[in-house]
Amino acid sequence: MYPDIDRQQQQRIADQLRRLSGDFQQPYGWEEFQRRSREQSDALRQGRRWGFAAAAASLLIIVSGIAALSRASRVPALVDARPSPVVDNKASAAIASADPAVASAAPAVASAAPDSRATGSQVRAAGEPKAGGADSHVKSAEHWLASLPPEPIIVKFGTRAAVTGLEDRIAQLDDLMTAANARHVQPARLSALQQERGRLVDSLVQVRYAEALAAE
Amino acid sequence: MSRLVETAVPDDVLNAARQGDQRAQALLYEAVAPGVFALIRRLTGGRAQAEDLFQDTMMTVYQRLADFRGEAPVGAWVRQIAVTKCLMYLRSPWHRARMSLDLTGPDEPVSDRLMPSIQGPVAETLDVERAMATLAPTARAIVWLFEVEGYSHEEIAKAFGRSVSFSKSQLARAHARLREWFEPNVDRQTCTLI
Repeated sequence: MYPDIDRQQQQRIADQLRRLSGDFQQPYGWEEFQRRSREQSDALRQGRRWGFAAAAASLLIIVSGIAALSRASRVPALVDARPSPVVDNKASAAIASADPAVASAAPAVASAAPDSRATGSQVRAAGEPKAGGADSHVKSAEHWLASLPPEPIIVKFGTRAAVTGLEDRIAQLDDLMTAANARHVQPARLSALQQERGRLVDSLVQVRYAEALAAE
Repeated sequence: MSRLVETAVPDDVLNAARQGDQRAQALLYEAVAPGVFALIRRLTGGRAQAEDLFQDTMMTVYQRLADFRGEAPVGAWVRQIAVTKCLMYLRSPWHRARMSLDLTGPDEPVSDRLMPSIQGPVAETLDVERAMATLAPTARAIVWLFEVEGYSHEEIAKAFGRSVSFSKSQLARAHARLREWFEPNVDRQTCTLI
């Protein structure tokens, strides 16, 4: 190597480069720069406006979709509020088989409907007169619910929403009943809450039974 | 010769420009624009890309002018913005794709196509221009930043997001290539046979 010669050569090249450094003029003046800046800013603003419009449209579609889905999922939850929900007697039979103590009550429900189906009012009519029977029916229903396998990984949204809604309402009623017991409210009020809870448990049984059948 | 970092702008002009005075902003533009464009042109090579980057750089300068604290000369601050824009461009996939397309063109030598237009047609200038055009964009940028703009290897490494040895090796290789260009027939024997 020849470090001195190399350094001299390098220095000469660097000097030549430095002499080149100022030989360009700017491509346009201040007025043209301002015009181009305005154009770019307008284009940017336009792009942002379209972006906001697209985002707003997407948000609207998402909100509409959620609203439609929540309405669809609310329908099954309202079934028990309607005057005559349909009860599959197989569900009652399943409950009855889970607890022999209420075996007499469940066939009564099933036999109440000539076309092998019974309305919710008939179910209530069968269960309401005997408070003790209704209580054991609810217990057996809960026992049957507890014996069900854990929910599958993939579930139908509507069914799951109905189940969740019913479970929430049952939990809410449990809270109310606990509070009512603590405050020593009238027995009639407590009984009404228990009946309502039983009705909700029945509805939950129906939905879970249907879900179990669909899963098979 | 005038480097961008040596560009002087009076304080009152700078303060007025910072507060949005149009006349002061025009004066600032006239002061720094030639240096900015020359630097960008040297770092990027092509005129069209240089004009786009110049516009982008100057817009950024005016957008951020209020943030300029005056701790360094305004030329150094503007130069930093311009260099950052150029390096972002050189690193962009779009630029790499364009380079690969350019290098496969059969019409003319690479050095002729990459060479910027020459305003002073002196033979020596022509040689330096042609020699610089033979370098890869990254090597060209490093040579320019080190030799002309006075960047240290540490500053170059930081700007490129690489190590100091990367900057040193790129510069050494670029110098070797430039020497070959200027003295192609010199036999550089590294050892003597006895």
